[in-house]
Amino acid sequence: MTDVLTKAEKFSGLFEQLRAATAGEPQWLTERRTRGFDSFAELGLPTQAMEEWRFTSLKPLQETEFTLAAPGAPVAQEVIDCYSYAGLEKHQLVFVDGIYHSELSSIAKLPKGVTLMPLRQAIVEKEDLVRQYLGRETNPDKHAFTALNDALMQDGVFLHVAAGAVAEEPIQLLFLTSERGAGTAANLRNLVILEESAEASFVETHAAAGTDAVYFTNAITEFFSAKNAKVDHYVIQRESTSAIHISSFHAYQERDSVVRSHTIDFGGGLVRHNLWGRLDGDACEAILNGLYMLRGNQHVDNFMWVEHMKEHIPSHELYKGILDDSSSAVFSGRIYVHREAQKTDAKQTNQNLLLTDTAKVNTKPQLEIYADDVKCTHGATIGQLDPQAQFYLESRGVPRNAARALLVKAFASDITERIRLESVRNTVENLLNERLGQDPES
Amino acid sequence: MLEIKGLKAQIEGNEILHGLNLTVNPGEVHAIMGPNGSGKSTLARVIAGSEDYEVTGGDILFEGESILELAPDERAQKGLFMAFQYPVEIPGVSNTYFLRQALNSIRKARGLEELTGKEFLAHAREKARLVELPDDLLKRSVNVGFSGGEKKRNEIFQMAVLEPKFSILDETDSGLDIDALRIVANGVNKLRGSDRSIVVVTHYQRLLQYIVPDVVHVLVDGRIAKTGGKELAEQLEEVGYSWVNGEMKTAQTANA
Repeated sequence: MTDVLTKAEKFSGLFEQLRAATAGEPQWLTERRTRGFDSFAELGLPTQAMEEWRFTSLKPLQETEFTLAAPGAPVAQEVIDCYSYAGLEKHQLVFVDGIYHSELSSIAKLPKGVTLMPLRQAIVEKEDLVRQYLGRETNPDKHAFTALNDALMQDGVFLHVAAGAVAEEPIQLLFLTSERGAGTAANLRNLVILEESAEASFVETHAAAGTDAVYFTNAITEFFSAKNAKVDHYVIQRESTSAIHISSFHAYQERDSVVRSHTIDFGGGLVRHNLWGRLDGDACEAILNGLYMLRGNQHVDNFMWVEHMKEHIPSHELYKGILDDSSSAVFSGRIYVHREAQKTDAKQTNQNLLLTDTAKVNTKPQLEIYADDVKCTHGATIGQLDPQAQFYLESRGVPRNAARALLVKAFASDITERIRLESVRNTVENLLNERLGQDPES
Repeated sequence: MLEIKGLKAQIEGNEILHGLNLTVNPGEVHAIMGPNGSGKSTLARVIAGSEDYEVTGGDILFEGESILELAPDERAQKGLFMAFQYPVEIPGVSNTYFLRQALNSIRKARGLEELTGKEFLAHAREKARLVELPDDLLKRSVNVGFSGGEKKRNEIFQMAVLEPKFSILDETDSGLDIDALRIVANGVNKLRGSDRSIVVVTHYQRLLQYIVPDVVHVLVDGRIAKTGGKELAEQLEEVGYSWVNGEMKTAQTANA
């Protein structure tokens, strides 16, 4: 009990500080913050005694005292250029230490029906929409990091696409942590609302920009896809290897909507992604892809819970991991098929490649099925590079490292090939090459 | 070109090669025949540098220099090639992509310019015709979804692309029907030349009707038991390996 109180106290300073800074906020939001804070005080940080956190220790989070970042930390243009994707500069929102940075951002003229702005601005200008949707898919009474985010949320992106409108240019979000961001906690909150037949795609990058110290990102993205809406979502996580990165992605889907999500991890010290899908309309579709390439002592935990609530819904989850050195990964996924969800076509796969004897994976794909006419499969593999394949390539003259790189990239190619945005795909492939000690593709 | 002296090799503590001697001169085609388990594949894989085997004695000289300390890729860069008995399937790695990388590693090691994608493709297409390998197999993942015959043709295609000085073909004929055998043999024959040596490892005499060897060796129990001209293969076909076996045992008894 004492322990839990310590945890609440740990963030209470931040809460008081933020409360003063957000005094002008609408009443409902203030109430949400208070509820979140009280709930967090009660829940405390999750422990490994909880099944959902069994293989992930939050010790680094407990051990650090965090502060709130001050706005206006400088980030050099070269850093922006290094992390942004060629051809996606049109709509680029840059957040530094969790705070929107208008000088570094640019939002070009948007098509009719598309609203794109920082969440802080939306709380003022689009209050009704924000109030209607914010927190609809989350449960702060049950989940500590949701409670904490509710209490401490600072900024994030707000995207609303009206019925039939299409945000043709992909939207780029850069969440950077500057040198001044060392030791800070950033609670990001994104809200994406797609009305009927709306379309959008966006690319989120989380990266360290000038610090390798500990910092804490706690991000929540809520995603509403109305009938027939289509969205492509990419997360490229390149935090520092000391960073603690917790994210929750909540997708609510109505009939015939399609969500394609890609979560790619290269960075972070302690990383946890929660992915919640509620597939609440006939024939909606969720494609959830993940790739993690880890080294050193990096730890990445992918948790997901996908609910099939109506008929004829396909959902496909493919997560692939490449683990070097003493890195570790966790995959726990559950597909929950409601009694009404006949003709479900669900497939959940987690495949891991261990490059050393000291890398470690815990994987647990699960199905929970209450309908009787469904097609559901799940599977997990943990393996090493095939020595015969390696010998074959080497015997043709390909040097050992290059042969290893070829095989690792071939393993990852199921995921990289699914990345539709070319510049993002190239970046991911180059990061793979870099990790494998190979020159970028010419 | 290749000189093997008193080669001893073991796998997991079992000695397979018990002091093997073999000399292959430039331009020669040798056949190595022998019963199952005599060490034919072990010899091929040891020459290629497989780490599954431990060399415990003797030496392998290529152009006068020992290659025992060289990694498989370094041996390939020097001009050695092995066609696998069981070509490995490698999902996700395209045939041409990996082969261009292989050829360029070899060219780089020899101080030659690397080939561009376009130059390589022209080179590869020409060689593919040699073994009648369809273009679409070039783009596919290495050996994935290939028929048995296509896999063997792919081996000879790779040999043609890489233009090695010394090649050892490990039972490239096994499992091939007569049409596929002709295609493979034809490909190999076109690669014969005064500066290239080829060793054909086979279980069956039939291949040697199409690839006519200069020298035939019989490998029994990890040693070359008999060496002769191409007529030796015909003799073997008639009387079987037990003949050589018996003769060798007699020889051993006489020596003792």
